This record gives sequence, C-alpha cells and structure tokens, in this order.
Amino acid sequence: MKITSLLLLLSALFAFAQDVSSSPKFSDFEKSLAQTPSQMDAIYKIREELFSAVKTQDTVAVANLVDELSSKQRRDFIPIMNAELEVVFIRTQMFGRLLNMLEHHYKSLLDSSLFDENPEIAKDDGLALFVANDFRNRDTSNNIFYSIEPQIKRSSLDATQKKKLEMMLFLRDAYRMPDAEYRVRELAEEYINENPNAEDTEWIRKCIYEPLKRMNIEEYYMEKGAQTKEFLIKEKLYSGGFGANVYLLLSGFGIGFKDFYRKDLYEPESTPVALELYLQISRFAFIGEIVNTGLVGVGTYGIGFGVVVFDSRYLKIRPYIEYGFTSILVDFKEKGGNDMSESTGSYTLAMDVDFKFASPYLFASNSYLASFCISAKFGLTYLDMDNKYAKGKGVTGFFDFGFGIYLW
Amino acid sequence: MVLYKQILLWLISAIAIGLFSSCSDSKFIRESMRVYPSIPPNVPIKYLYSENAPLIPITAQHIATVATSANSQCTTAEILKYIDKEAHNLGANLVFIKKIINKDIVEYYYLGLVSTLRTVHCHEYLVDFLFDTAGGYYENN
Repeated sequence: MKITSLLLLLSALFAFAQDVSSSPKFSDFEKSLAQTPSQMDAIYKIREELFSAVKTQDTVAVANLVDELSSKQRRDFIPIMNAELEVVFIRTQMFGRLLNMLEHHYKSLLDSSLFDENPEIAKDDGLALFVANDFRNRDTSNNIFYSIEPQIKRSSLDATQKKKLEMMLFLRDAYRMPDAEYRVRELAEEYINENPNAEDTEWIRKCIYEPLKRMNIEEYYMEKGAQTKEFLIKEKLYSGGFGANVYLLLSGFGIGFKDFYRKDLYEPESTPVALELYLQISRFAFIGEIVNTGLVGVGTYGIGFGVVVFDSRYLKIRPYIEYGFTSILVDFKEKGGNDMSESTGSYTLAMDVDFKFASPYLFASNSYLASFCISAKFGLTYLDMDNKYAKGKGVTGFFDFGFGIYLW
Repeated sequence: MVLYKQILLWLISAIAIGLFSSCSDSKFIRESMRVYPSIPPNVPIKYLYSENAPLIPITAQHIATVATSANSQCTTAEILKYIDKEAHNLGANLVFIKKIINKDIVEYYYLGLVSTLRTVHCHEYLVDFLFDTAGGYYENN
C-alpha cells in the first residue's frame, strides 16, 4: 500500500517536472488574456480621470483625456464610445467638440471596414455607469436638443455651426419623430443653400437630406414618380397591349335599306351595347367585336384589323377594317315560324378614337400601365342581306360612344 | 346574348377593380429610368434600418422608393418577401427601411358560408431601394 502511494506521488512529481521543463506555449487567446489587464488598467485609469474632470467641469483636462483615449483606438478595441463622448461633451458644454464628434460619428457609422467584427469595448467603470444613467434619465419623447437649446444658444459657436449641431442632434430621431424629421430637412436644405461649396455639403445632401425628402411620398411622387411615368408612357407609345372597349351610346343612320326592318318579326333592343376587344402588337391591332344591331336576336360578330396611326399621352387613333357576320338567332316559334339562324357578311370601315384620361400603373407593377379611356368610334358598314327573314342592301353610318381600358 | 351580357358585366367589374386598386396599391416611385443589372436570387440583399442609422452611405445610389400598402401585403413576412423580390429585380443591393407604420384594415372573410368582417393588424413599410457601389452595408452584429 505504502509503495503504491509512493509510486503515485513520484509519477505525479515527474509529470509536473516534465510540464515545467518544457517551454510554456500559450495560445494567442491566452496571451491576450495575460496582456490585456495592464492595458485595460491604463485605459480605465484615463477614463477614471476623465470622469472626475467631467465632474469638476475641467474642460481642458477633458479635451486632453479624450484625445488620449481616442489615440488608443484600434480595429479591435474601442476605449471610449461615441455615446459616452456625447454625454461628456454635453455635460461640460463643449459644443464645438460635440459637433465634430457627431459629424465623425455619422460619417463613419456605415463604414464597416473601421472595426473588426466584435471589438473590445471599455465599459465596466463609473463613467460607463454615469453615461448609462444619463441616457436612462433622458426624456425619450423629446429630442435631446430641446433640453440643451439655451446652452447651445449661449455658446461661442457661430450661427452655421449652431444650426449644424442642431441638425446632428435631431438626426437620430429624424425617422422617429415628425418634428425632428421636419427640422432636419429644413436645416439641411438651409445648409445646402447657404454653403453650396462646403466640404460636407454633398454628404449632407446625399446621405441625410435626400432620403428624408423622399419621406413625403405624395410630394416625392408628384415630383419624381409622375415624371418617371411620363417617361415610361412616352417610351411605350406604339408598343402594344390589350384593350377592351364597351360602347353604351350607339347611334347611326342607314341608307338604301328597304323593308329591312320587319316589325312583325323583330323588336328593338332595349339596351344597345357593343363590346370590342383588341390585341395590339406594335402599331397593328387585331380586333374582335360584338355589335348590337338594335334588334332583339340580331347580332354582328366581327373580326378586324387596325393600324394605330396616332398615339400620344392622351389620344390614340386607330382606323380599322372589319368583316362582320350578322346572325339572326331568333326563336320564331312564338310568331309561328321555324327556329332558324341565318348569317350574312358585312364590311366595315371605321375609326376608333380613345381619349386616355388616366394612365396609372397596373397594380403594383412599375413597368406596365392601365389606361382608362373614353372611346368613340365612327364609320360606315356595307351590308347586303338577302335571306328568308331580312332583305336589304345599303350602307349604315354609325357613331358609338363608350369607355374602355387598355393594358400596356 | 346572355353570354355576351355576362362578358360585359365581367369587364365592367374588372375595370372597377382596376380603378380601385390603382388607388390603394403600393406606391412605387423610380428615381430615374436608369436600369441596374438585376441581382441573382441566391445573392442576399442587405438591409439597413433607420433606427440603427438615420442616414444612407455616401456610396449609395437611389433607385426607387416604395410605400407598401396593407391591402396588398399585410404581415411583415409578406412585406419583406415583396421587398426582397423587388430589390433583386431592380438590382438594389441595399434596402433602407425608413419607416414601419402600424395599420389596421378591415377585410371580408368567410366563416362557413357566411361572409363577415374582421379587423386585421397590418404593417406598411416605407423603403428606399439603393445600389451601394461599395457593396452594401454589412451589419456587424
């Protein structure tokens, strides 16, 4: 028993000796653990001094200590955060430094190349706690500017700098509070107009002012969307699409028909309507039409071919030729006749005029349009009917009026 | 003739729906007619929220602004899917989400055979589609 325990002790001693004799190999992580405390201690010491300088309102010391801390900033280490600097500069009323800091903050905010993924941050001391409390006690329903406005007004900054500081302070709430949005927009516009050649005018215009200007979607639409749509409309003229017209007011006259309308067989249609569908490819249109003849049971189905001779923002003119089948589909049984149908051909030469009074985008699309039109068409139809139920030869003129939709 | 009148009724309904939806649908405004190459579907789009950064990168070019409509896309998932699709189409590698508005809409739904109304809680997004020449902003966290 004794021998075993002695052996164990000896082997343990050997193992330890072996461990000590080999040179210590620490990983990078372990090295960083070993080195950081002294570095961090120095940082925390400066932060401690800064905290006391803030408390005693020693602005010279604050400026020096902040510079010292900032100079120690590395890709993987942040000795003092911008939020801490903000509180420090506000508490000591160093508004010039505050303005510079905020400008730098916003200019570098979206530059992800400045820091590594998870930089180390000095944040476990009295200063950090003080800053956290300061933020916690802020009135979140109002921008910070309102609480320091009198001090900024009294400060030694010139008028331009004061306005710029106000803009930078309001910026954080620009997309959260309507008053901040309005104020930043106003101040930015003013700054751009007053300092057209300043170094950061372009930055303020492009990064701050323009995205805010686009917040008022109606106004922006009036300015931009309408003009883009106009451009699109201009580009799409004569391009083609699908259209449907409904004619509700039909009028016309006939020349040459004799005994065409047999009162004993037909009755006038109470709701005269005509429907026209057309597919336009480039300037050419293929037309399908159902025309009401004004008599119950008599309808014309036509197929035609048209050419768009004029197309503009509001007006489209499309002459066409059409071959129609005029069918009689009347059930004559009631009148003692046989149930029969007869078909006769007709030729039409007409002109369709569309007044596109509105052309919004088609649903959520940004490249297709839907035009709503008031449509009119007029023309002549030659008809030669000679069958059991109707007989006549002649020309009818017509003028139809309706509305339509054109998807393009 | 019955079929003919039916077609007519359908057409009038379609026009009415068209007129109605053109007013209530998402607003889509392009900055210019300049066309950017579209982004392949497997390349992710980067998102920037105004609550994190109230400004856009200097390297970003504005392509279009969209205000979604609760009538078209209601839930966050639907809206983000729509935005992502549009961003790929437009060639926008960066999307700046400026404002998210809560909006309740009233819609019809069927309970068995009975049609009734309910209030649905929806969101409306106001976003800028951007092309960032620096490759888009990378969120570190």
